[in-house]
Amino acid sequence: MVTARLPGTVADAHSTATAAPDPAPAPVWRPDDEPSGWRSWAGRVVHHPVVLRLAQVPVVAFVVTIIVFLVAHLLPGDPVTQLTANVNGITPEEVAQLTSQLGLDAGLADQLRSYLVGLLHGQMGISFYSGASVSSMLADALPATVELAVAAVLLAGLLGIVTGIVAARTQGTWVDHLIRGGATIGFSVPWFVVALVAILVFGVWLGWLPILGRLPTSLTYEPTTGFVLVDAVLQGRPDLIGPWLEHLALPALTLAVTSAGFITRVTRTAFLDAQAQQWVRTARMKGLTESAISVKHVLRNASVPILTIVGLMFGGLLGGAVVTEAVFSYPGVGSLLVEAVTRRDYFVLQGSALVIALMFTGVNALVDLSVLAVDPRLRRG
Amino acid sequence: MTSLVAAAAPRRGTTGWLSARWSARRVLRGPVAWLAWGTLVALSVLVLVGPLFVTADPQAQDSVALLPAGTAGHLLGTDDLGRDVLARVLAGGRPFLVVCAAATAASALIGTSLGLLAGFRGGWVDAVVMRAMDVLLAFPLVLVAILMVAVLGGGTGNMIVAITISQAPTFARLARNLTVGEVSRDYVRASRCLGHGSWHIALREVLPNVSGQVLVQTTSTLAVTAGLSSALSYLGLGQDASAPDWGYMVRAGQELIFSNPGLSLIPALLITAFAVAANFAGDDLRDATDLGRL
Amino acid sequence: MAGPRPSVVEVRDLHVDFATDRGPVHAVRGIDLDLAVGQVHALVGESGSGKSVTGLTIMGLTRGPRTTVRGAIRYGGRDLVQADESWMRSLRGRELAMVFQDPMTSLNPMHPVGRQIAETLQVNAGRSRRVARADAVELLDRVGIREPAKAAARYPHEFSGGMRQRVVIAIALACEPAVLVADEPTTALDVTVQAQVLDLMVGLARASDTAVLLVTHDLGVVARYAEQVSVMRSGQILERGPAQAVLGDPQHDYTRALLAAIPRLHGPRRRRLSPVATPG
Repeated sequence: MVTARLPGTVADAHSTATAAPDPAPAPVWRPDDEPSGWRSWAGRVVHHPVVLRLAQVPVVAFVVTIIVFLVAHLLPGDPVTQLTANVNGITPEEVAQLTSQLGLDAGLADQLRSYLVGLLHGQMGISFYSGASVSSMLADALPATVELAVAAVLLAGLLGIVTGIVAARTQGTWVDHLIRGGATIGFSVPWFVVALVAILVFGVWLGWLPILGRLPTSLTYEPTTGFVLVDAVLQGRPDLIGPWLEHLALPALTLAVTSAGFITRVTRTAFLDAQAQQWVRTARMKGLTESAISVKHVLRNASVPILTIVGLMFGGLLGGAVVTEAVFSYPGVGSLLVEAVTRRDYFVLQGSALVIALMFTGVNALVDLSVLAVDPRLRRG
Repeated sequence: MTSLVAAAAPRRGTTGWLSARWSARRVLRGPVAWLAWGTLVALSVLVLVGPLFVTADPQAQDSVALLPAGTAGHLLGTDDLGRDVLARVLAGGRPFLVVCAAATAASALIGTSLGLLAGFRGGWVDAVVMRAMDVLLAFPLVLVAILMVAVLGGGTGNMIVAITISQAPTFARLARNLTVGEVSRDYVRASRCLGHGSWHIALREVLPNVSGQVLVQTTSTLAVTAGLSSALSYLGLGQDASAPDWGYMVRAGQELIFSNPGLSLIPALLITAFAVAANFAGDDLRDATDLGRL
Repeated sequence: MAGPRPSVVEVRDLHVDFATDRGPVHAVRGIDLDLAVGQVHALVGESGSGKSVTGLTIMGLTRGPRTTVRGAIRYGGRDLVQADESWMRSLRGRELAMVFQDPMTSLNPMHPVGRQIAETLQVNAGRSRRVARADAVELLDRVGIREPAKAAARYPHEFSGGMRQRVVIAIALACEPAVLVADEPTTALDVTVQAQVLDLMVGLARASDTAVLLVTHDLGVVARYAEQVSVMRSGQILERGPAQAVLGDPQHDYTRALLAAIPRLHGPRRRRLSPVATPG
């Protein structure tokens, strides 16, 4: 006879069947009775949710890298043919030499290995178009995209969360309906349409903001870190900041508008859900003011779904960045990718796709970790 | 069904679920919903039937270039190559609509099936399918679509495949999580006791109960697909330049924005209207599901 | 039992209506109720009788755009029905407190329990954070939680249902309120734990002369803890009086039916349970 051992109960010493009774009553489970010793400590550390989540990052990154490599290899066309397309009178021997130089005659597994090794050394090939090394191109482009993404997330987050809370607090009124309708329209409109309208209105018609590039061509800029804000401080060049912000404004706003709509809706739902929870009733019973309740009891609990969705939205944001950068000719990783696809620039495509995918992976991990930090229920696994 | 099973089953029954569920009266709350669904229907009709009413050939470059809108014979004017804009707009909707509808339907079908399979079988099938989906989801959707287009090449068919691959995992994950939740419920066990096989249970018992959320996701995906496919066309990655396509027309018309703004703005407006309508329709569906009417 | 005690709360002709999509719902239809200092007044009835709404209305927690409250709830020389929200808020936690039914959701899962107790002390008794935290530990001890200092740092999900309800009681009684409304405080708990929790709650309340409105559907609870009882059905009070009198010699048919519906331990084993007829 099997008896379930519930915590706090004594094992059933009675046995109504003919089977022999338990030899000794099982000990009552007490929380202080957890096994001691370093093995159990190690076990607890390894199974801790934070550690588990962190451990996933390199695994996912590795898988992502391999997939990008494989996809790049599925691309039609041969890199060597492309490289030598404009060179007249090239001999087959030179073609073969080039092929082996680029390591493209080796088997797939060998190519993968040299690719991975090259990655570790920061070598990602060269562009067929410009001849520049892919890693230097990425080093220039990545900070631009990061700046754009951060600006967009900040703007979208601020706008979205504030309007979401307002909509939740005024639930049912015209304000709520207006905000919700606006939010839906906001995230339904395709990025390039928003970009187009933004260019037309702010760039051309009103002429307030520039519509091209990252910095005005008249301005000389020698990157140290690649991040304009940081470099402006390090190099003592405050004159960089104004034009930088002007050029960042339209692309960031374009991205923010579409993302904010999503955040608004999620915030509103999360806020309403949290507000309906019973512990809010307890807080009200204690005599707290509504705003104190909103901040201390509703917001923190609502932040879990909000953070989760923001993380998911970041993927969409990266995708939107790809399109937006193309529209504004903003020199980020996204426009590198698009150009590379159009031109069949093999290594650039591989490198930029990899960078984008890894950024996404990193942000997802960050979001998961912050959710763990906020919600104590998830911490003990 | 025996009374026991009937008692154990959730409110949504399995008999005649098709007819009971799809009556339009259960959905369509409020003027916004009517407007949304109406827009979707109107756009579809316009695109499917419209070209029959326009005599001009969208590819013919015989007219004078850049005629303004309202010219006799060319309601919306002509583009820089002398092609009739109205004809192009109407014709350009077809690839757009086809890609949206096909990609959405395909990802919904494939994704939901995979999710049901994974949720039902559990064990290693679940693990394998879900890890495969996770791998796809580790990439931003646009990136997946762009890479697929790069590998497969342009054209409508390949675009559909590319977008399907990027959207199906969302359905798979949704369907799987819902299925896992339902499988542990009593009505599934009761059905098994009656001797029904897994196929029967999956399709006739579980699927109707998860269909509400799947439907909502479908309209969401429709809107996303609209944006994605037009963005791909806009970037020049999808169609070839000569055949009219809304996304591409927006890009092509950008330079001529002052001569004939309609070249760019009209297709942009149509795409936007479609996506916005799809999302509002999705809201309507979600409200209907929440209220237990779907 | 001592002689008649002074009333702390006097409810007169209370009506509570809710406007819903399907028309108005008359949850409470003209009831009178008195809560005496340090005594337990049980409000008994089936689900939907309006007993919970009564308790919530005394606390002012039913106020809203769709609620209409008429009548009077006299407390401290003022009418709570007419009082404005800021006055009610100042009373809540300090002089009026409530314990809800479900301990699983009454506590915020993201705050340690010690902080949740300290919160009411800070807001209502004006204590500093450090003093409030120390007092919270003491309160945890008083409600019978082991190792209160450690427990104060723990989160609600680390406690069992009975212990969580003890925490909720600690929060409610922290400022020694004049009135405690307990809305089915033990219905969601294991039977073995119910008696302990009720003993604790009623004991603490009596010690600080707190008047208790005990909303319940359990006549056994009424018999054991209440001095006064009101029997409620469909928004009205059908019978009222000292608990012993009402339970021992019920005057109203409904009360008799309620008592008769309780399964008896002794007596014929095959006797049918007698249902209580509900109107409508």
